[in-house]
Amino acid sequence: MAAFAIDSTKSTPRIFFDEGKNVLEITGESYPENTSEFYDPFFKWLNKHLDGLHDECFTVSIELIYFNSSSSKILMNLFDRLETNVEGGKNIVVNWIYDKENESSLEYGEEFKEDMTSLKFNLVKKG
Amino acid sequence: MEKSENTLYETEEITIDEAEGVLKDEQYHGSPLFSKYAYLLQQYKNMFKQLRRLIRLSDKQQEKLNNLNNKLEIANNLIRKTFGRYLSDDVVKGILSSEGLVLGGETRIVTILMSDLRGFTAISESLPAETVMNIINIYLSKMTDIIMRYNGTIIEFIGDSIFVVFGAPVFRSDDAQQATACAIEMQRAMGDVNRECRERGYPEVEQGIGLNTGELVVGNIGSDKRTKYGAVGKNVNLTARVESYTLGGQIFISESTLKACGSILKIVACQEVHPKGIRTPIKIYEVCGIEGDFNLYLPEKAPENMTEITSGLGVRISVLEGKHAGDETIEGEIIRLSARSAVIRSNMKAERFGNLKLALIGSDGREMEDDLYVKVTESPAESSSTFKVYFTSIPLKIRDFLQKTYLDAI
Repeated sequence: MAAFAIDSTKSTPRIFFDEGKNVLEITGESYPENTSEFYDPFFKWLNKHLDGLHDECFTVSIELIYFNSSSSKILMNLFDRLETNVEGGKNIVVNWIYDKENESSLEYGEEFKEDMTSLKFNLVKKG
Repeated sequence: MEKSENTLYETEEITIDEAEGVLKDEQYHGSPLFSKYAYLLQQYKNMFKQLRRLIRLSDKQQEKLNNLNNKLEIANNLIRKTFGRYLSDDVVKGILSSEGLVLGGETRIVTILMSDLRGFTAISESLPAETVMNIINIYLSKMTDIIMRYNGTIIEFIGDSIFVVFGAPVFRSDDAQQATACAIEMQRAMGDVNRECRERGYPEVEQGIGLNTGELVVGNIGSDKRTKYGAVGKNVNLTARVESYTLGGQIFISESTLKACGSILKIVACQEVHPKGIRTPIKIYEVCGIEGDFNLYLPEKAPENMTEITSGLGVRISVLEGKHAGDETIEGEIIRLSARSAVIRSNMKAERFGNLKLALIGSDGREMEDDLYVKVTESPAESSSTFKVYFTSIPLKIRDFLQKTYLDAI
């Protein structure tokens, strides 16, 4: 499985794939100047990675403090893609990590979870 | 399709219902475009689902931002209200702006206003500290309201004096006129100040105001730990000098303020003076009103009823340097008297605008306990040994004594 890593900036999240654990982490804030441009290489990598998955569990761990509307659309695209893959027999889990002090983060997680029928979507309290 | 609770997505839902109706119609099932139609409908439904979620998320974000904004506004108002008692609104606004508080100054043309309670230092020596503070607070409270109404920036209160600039931090094209109108309003408000003083059993006070227009360096002075909005420059000193020539109720302005105000000022007198520390003599103008949109005038002065003191009232005169009396005293006598002024005969060469301390000599030949402070308003003419003075500070006991002397003379 190919490695993937993007360091965080003030307006973009850190995206890191842990090859050993088969865990993808998206952490930080997301309000890039050009959202499509920023996430394009990630989706290219993700598609390849999903294609190469067999029975192993692929975990996507997301901890976003703030994200703009474009990033919301990106997240929905991501979850739809993961759900399609789960419906196709892949083993994928999403962990939406929220801070107990940040009520909105939990609310956003609940919003995204509502649409998922096949994808396992966990709301995980931090700390 | 899950129905919305309101009509926000009515069109989209009708579209989907109709499209699903078409899909159910068996007559289209054999069509070559049927599968493409079904795919497009599924994509449309997906997109609609995402749209609704996006709008919900966006509304939540907006609500959160609104709440934060409201909290920020409440906090800012609290800060403005708290600091507004120490600084002008414009200075507070500057501090709360994105740039924050930056140390440093800039040279600006401003009109400086300095006011002072004439003779108050002498009065305060014979009053309890709390009374002194209460009188100052009555005065400053009334004056502050007026100064803020005219967009003046109070740089500081120095005891019973107020140091104000017009034109910093915010420049306005009519700063000098605003400052002069403000000074007139301040003098007019002294009636209210003294009414309150009388009601509370305090002595009445009088205010002198000096105005001057010129360059000053203004800005945030101090250190990272303690900062104030300040103003420095020789024009501060000049304004203080202009103010020092005033009697209670008067407003004096420098030539630069006269020019900056234009023809709308009403001037009653012009004098040439040579202040200490200033190289050449300057002209100062006594203002009694401002026309134009302001249309403000000082109250008319009551006529002065002077009476002869035929027996003469002995005084020992000392010249005041700043707030201190010199050691040397000269004998003299009051030969004419009114409620606020007197004519003194003496061998001393009294200088106009000079400040004197008078010790009154009673009928027993002894000096009275309290002193009378006066300003020379008319210096002796050639070959004359008399000069006129205005009482800047009259202790209560002296006031009673002079009143009795005046009535006896009538």
